[in-house]
Amino acid sequence: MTDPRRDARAGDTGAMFVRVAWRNLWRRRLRTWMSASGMGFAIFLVSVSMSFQAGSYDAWIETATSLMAGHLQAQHPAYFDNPEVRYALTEGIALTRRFENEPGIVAVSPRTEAFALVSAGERSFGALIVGVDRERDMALSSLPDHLSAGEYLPGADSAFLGTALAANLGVDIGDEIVVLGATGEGGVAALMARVDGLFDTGRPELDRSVLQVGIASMQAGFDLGDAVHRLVIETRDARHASDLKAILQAAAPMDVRLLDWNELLPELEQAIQIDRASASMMYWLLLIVVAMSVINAFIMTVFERTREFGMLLAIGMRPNAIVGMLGIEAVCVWAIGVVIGIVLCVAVVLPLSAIGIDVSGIEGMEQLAAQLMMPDRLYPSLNVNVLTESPLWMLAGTLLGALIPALRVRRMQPVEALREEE
Amino acid sequence: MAEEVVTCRRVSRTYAEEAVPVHALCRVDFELAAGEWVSLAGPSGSGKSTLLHVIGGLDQPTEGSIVVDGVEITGLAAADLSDLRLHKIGFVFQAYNLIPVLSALENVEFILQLQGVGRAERRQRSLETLDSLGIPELADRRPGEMSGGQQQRVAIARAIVTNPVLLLADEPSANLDTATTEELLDVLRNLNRSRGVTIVTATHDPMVMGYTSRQVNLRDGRVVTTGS
Amino acid sequence: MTRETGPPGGDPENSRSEFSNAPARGRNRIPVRLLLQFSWRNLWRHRRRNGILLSAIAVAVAGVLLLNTLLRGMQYDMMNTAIDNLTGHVKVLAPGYLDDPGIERGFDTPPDWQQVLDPDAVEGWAARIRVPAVIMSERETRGIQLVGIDPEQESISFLHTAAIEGERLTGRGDRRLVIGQRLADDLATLPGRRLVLVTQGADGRTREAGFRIAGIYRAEMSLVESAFVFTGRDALQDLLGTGDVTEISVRLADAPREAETMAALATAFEDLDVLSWRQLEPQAATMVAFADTSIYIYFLIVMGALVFGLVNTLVTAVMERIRELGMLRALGMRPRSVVAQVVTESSLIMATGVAIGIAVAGGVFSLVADGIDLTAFDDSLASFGMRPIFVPVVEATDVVLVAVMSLALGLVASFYPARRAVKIKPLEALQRR
Repeated sequence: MTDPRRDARAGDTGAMFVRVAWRNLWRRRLRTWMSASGMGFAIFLVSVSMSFQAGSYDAWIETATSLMAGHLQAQHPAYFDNPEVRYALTEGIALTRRFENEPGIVAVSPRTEAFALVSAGERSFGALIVGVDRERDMALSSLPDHLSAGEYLPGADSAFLGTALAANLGVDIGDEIVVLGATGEGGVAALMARVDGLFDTGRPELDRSVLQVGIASMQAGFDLGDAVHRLVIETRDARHASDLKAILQAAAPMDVRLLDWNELLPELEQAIQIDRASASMMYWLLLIVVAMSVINAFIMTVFERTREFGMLLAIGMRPNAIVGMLGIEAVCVWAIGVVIGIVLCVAVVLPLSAIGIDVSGIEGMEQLAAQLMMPDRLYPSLNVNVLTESPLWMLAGTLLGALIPALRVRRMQPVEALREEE
Repeated sequence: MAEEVVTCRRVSRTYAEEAVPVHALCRVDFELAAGEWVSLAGPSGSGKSTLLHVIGGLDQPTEGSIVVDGVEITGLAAADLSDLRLHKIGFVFQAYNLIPVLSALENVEFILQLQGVGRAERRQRSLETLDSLGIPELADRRPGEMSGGQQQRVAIARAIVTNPVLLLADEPSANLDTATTEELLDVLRNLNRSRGVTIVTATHDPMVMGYTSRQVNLRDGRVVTTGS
Repeated sequence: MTRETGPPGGDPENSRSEFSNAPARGRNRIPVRLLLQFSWRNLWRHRRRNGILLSAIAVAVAGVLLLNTLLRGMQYDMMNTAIDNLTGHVKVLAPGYLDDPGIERGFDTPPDWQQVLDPDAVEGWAARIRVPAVIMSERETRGIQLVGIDPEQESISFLHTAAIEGERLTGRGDRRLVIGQRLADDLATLPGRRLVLVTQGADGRTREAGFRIAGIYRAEMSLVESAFVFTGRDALQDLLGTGDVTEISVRLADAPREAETMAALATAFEDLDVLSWRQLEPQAATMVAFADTSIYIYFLIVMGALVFGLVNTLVTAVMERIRELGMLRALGMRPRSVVAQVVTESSLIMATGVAIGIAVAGGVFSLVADGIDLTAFDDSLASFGMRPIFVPVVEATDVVLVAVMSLALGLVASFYPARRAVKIKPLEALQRR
């Protein structure tokens, strides 16, 4: 007897087992539908929820990084821990050009930064002064989109500041302000600017404390020359920012440190982790509850069919083959559940992933969205991961749930099983 | 003298799980020659079913030796006993003989499939067996669509399709009326006579006893009389 | 007997009306005790199956309850953190202060104003000056909130319990500073060193003065550490040239009496705004409200998954007993009693499962009641307004709610099986083999 023929027979026998298992399912229609629907319900909920998670994490990252931080930054090695004016990258323009030509990078914007005293008339407030290259920054930052009055840095001596800061200073469009700070060497840094634009991000810590001016006037006022504090970099895909960071870091000069958004915005990364953790607690709970229902359904099945199993054992079927057949039954129920769950999930999520959900319409979500740096519209995202992860976990749970009772068959004595009352 | 298909020597089966140990079989000696049809008789609890089960490898004796078709089966592993039942023994039970979700033909084919017989041969042998038992029209019916007697015929077809050395039937007529029982016994006699199938039936139905070549009476786990 | 067999699918209502003329109506009813006994014994008939079902219910209930305690813990934490951070439950402010804080939006406290407060409802209060200022070390400049306090009144805020390196403020005349660790790091300074403060006086002119650092506090959130700088209230009033304060913060001993307290304060400060923490910390208030909703969502999801298994088991329990139920029907048991039996059994399973679930949740809870250390997530939690170590909180109403909703769900789940049971026709059931 040749091997291929034996293989063909094994496949043949498998097909028979599947047929028997499939038909057995429909002996208890309601039970099968209930088990499958339970799984479908859980798969549906988990997949939908995962598609929203995936969608919102992408949106969180995009919204948060586009405001100020960017996907990557190049800084002086000491600047991240000690944001002092003197820790600047010299030759800012050259470095900007250099990074702009790297593959995978969409935009680069040089910025200078310093904490300084902003005064208008008798009033003075502390603020973070940010010098930006207007065109370059507009290519990657969403701050100009939050313009609430005036224009975004129309002139060389323009200032663009938060509405709350403007209110505190008592200034409006057209008013003059004075910035007083310290240069890297400890000397006095001063610059005058005209309020030409106001922004309102809804985030008090930004609106109250950030003031943007042209990078050239800031470099002049703070005696920086060509130096910059941050090169803010937008990459093609924020999710691969850390890979790109490693590549860039290896090629970068000694005195340039690259940071990715996980490092720049640790609270964002951890907000995602917390959200994931609490969601997976929920998923596990669901999985366990459904798996227990499966165990129960199979306990009932094994119990009801004890005599049949006794007969199968008597005619020479091996116990493991019966366990295998029950396993196939479980997989069939699972497959029905997956179809139910995935069809529902796709039916719900697919239209939503195109049009999005207006989160701001939900009561209270608006403030929450502002606080968590979430956008107004959420686009759930369907991908292979979302659609396969919960079914696979469910398969593991189902097989476990079916095999626990099925293993009883291995301990069955055929004579006793045959004697069992129907 | 024909060769012996079954040889039991001093076979005992004690159920020790009960509070008082039950001696279902007590040092039974029993031989079965090829081509015989032996009927095990006795009241319930006499040990006839137990003897049938230990011969068929469904149950293991506590003591003694059983040789089936030249193989000592006491002490065999569960998997080897499964194979023994699959290849050498055919079973017919009182009820619940068939896989409810399979048609008659599929039920018969199923056991050949367990043996690893190829598709074409399987189908052919199954159909031939159903034909030989005069029930080709039942091939596509499921057990739920058949009468008790029809089900038992299909069960016999499944039991003999593998050409076993031994056909064991445990109260095969218990759920059947007189006319059907007679038909069933005719089928068995036909098998026994024309195909030389060796049969052991355990029953207290006196009708069965009229058909058999030999009768073994049991009482309280012991063989009382043997006769034909 | 044949009448009672009824038409196929006859529901209990119809069957009852068929019997409405029956004289012995009152007797044809199973006593509740017997019903319970029946159900209880049936539970034990299938120990394994019901055991698993009970475990599933218990796991679901315990899981939901534990998730609840975590959510409640987060909720309480956000609320308390919001209240601790110089907010209190209720605050009195001048109109417009929130949009444009400054000493020109200060106010004079009338003597004896605190008499409007019910001492039983109030834990404490503090009158403060809080103005924006710029703080400078030799190297660095930062914008901060300068807060003039009476240290004796600050038992109501985080400052009371915060760890301090160096010394605390000794009184409201203390002209030294207490600054946060984060700010100290940014300014690269230490206790005993001097810092220069620039702020606006009551006359609108800029004041600049040197202050010595008394101590450096640690807060749970770095945002707080970099924002608040404390000094004595009288000292700050001297600097600003005023006798006013900018806020009065009240912390309640009895949170539900918030509205009453706010009303009382409104009479004492007619021209001023009286605001609750919900208005002052809208994000925290939103998160707190959101947690309430989440509890329902979690419950519905987990228990929804459970219902499928419950219906499964109940239907099987009915189908297994077709003969038995048919026999009882043949003996004259009314369809309604069959329904009662199925429903009782379902409720009993659910109640037992819920009881076990609550016990399990209680056990697990007692293990983690001291708090779960989430230091790994520290930064992020702080951005939500939460503390790194957070303590799960049990609310009796949540437990009751989960229990009641579960029992209701048990009733819903028994509807279909009960219908199946009612459809059983006595004769058919008895003949069935």
